[in-house]
Amino acid sequence: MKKLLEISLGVVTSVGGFLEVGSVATAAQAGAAFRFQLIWAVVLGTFCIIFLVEMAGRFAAVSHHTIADGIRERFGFNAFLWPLLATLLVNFLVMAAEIGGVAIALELATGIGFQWWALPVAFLAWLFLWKGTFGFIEKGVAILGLVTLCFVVGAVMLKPDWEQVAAGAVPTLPDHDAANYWFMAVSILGASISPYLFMFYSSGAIEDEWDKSYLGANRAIAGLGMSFGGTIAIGVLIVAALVLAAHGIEQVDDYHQLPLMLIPIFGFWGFVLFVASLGIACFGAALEIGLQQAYLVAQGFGWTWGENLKPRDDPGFSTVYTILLVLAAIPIALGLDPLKLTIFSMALTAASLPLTVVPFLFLLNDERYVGEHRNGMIANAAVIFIIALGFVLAIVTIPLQIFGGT
Amino acid sequence: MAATLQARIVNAVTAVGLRPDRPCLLLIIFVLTACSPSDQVEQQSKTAASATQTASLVLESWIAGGAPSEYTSRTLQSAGKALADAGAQIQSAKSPEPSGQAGLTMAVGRLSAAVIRAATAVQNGNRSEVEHAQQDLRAAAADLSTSYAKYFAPKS
Amino acid sequence: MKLLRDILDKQVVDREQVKIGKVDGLVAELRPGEPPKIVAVELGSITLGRRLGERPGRWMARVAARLGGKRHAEPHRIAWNKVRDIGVDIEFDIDVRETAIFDWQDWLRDHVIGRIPGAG
Repeated sequence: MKKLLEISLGVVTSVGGFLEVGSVATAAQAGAAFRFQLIWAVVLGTFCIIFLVEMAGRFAAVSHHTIADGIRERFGFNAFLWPLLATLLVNFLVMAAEIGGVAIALELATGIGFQWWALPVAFLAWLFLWKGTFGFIEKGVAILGLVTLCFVVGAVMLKPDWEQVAAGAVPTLPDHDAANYWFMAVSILGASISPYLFMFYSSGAIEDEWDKSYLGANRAIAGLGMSFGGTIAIGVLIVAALVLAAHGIEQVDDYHQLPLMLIPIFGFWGFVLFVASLGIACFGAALEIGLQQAYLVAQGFGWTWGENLKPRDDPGFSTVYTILLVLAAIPIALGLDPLKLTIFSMALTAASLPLTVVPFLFLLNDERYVGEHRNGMIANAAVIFIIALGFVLAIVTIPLQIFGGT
Repeated sequence: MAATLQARIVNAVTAVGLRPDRPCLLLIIFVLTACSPSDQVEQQSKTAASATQTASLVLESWIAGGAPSEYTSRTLQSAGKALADAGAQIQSAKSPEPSGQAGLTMAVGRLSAAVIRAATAVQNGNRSEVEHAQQDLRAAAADLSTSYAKYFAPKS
Repeated sequence: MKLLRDILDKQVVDREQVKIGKVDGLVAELRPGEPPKIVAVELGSITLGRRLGERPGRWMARVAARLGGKRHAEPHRIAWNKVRDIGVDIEFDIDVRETAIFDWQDWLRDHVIGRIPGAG
């Protein structure tokens, strides 16, 4: 019974972690521009993150190491430096994007420009990390995050042609705007496969003192939680296709367009639901990224860490998230467009994945850490394939997006 | 036009004995065609059409009571700005067809004006003015699609 | 035991189980005709700098000396005979409060973190 409760809580938590500004923005753009044609990218990304999250939990439960500990110990400091720097940079960009997401939600709600909200949002997030405990943050984010289910409800209410939806799950070549199509596929992969998600998960498993008896629960949480998250992202995509694209809105390059996804379905409540979903999902993600950044640095250098400690007892740990929040608020406060920043950070995330995921795969195949609970061939092959795909697409399309024509 | 260019490149590439990977090939084609003036006009016309539809959807939602005024007016301002930008880009493109280009520029200009007018009307809560602007918007949108069709019609 | 593989970069804790850092470097004694014998482990930014190369090492030592005074011009060392247990972490029979390892964290606590309301 206790395990069951823990599993359902874990599932809900993963939903909260999965959906953030990146998945909303990329799914909305993809649905508007290509209708159901890019559903496969969400499916592939979800599939990959299920494997990675399951591995992260298994690694922590069996070896009692977090991923950062493991990578440093197994590959040495010099090799650890590369994934460390890559993740710090990506976390910084994604954090700025999430602060931007909350700021947009507040602008929509109040009419005061988003750049004015960047510092207050960063301060509020900091206050939560400063005073909150791990359980409080995890559960609070999780339960409030359920509001994002409105996208799934909306998608079902629009009665999509489910056959077409299913057809979208199979990759096909675009018949127009090819470069844009592949760039969107990359951003969706980057938004679904967030390194902070599985690294955060492994730290959480250590904070909650998991051991081998949690392996079953871990599998259930990873599979169900991430599938739920992916379902919501597909919900966003379907809604964007059936509302935005159907009205002839094929380019979502302005965040003002986003609430229009839900207004035609739910009327004024659609507006409220959108603002609440965006604000809560992004705020939750900002908390998780802040924690993850601090975990990563503290674990990498062997400092005391833990969200349940008082800041006095882990000064290094609390300094890291404080600095991150201050820095990440700056671009938004200066008025950098949050939507553009989001899409760019998601593509960059996809490009950075080999640096974090490849060392991680080595650990999961090392008997000294995971003993008999090593990875199977399928898990290895699937993850390598998807990461390679994301990387190659990112390397080809990011320069195009920056320099190419439009 | 893009289709014939694609065909030509496929022929060229297969002629040297390479087997092109289609996604890559499409990307190459994109790069080659991205900067041509007619492509710029096409791209900007599409952006203008999308911004127009955004404006009309948010107006409809406002009239139906779904979208709050502050949000509606901001969205319209933003769409109006996007339209003005697109108009400027269409105007400055070195198109082989100045007359069609002028038609497009004019249509987009009208759209931009109508959207900005709607934004002000929403801000003032002036319903009849909003409905006027909405009619303007519809007429200008029809204009845009006629000019667009004329511009990209197959030439004899 | 393969020292580099099994000891280097492991988590170090003191006798109170406080996490004090990683094994950033090893100090070994070379004995003719016999395998080298480990005499101490090193912790801290200077050792990490040296692992990256000679220049980052010197640079880090200069920064550390400037910020922390003479006490911090050399890496922190813990004698190998203080090892108590090697498991997931390596436990040394020391008390971190009696070393200089946490000086920077103490400074941070006293001058920054501790001054912010609600630090605990």
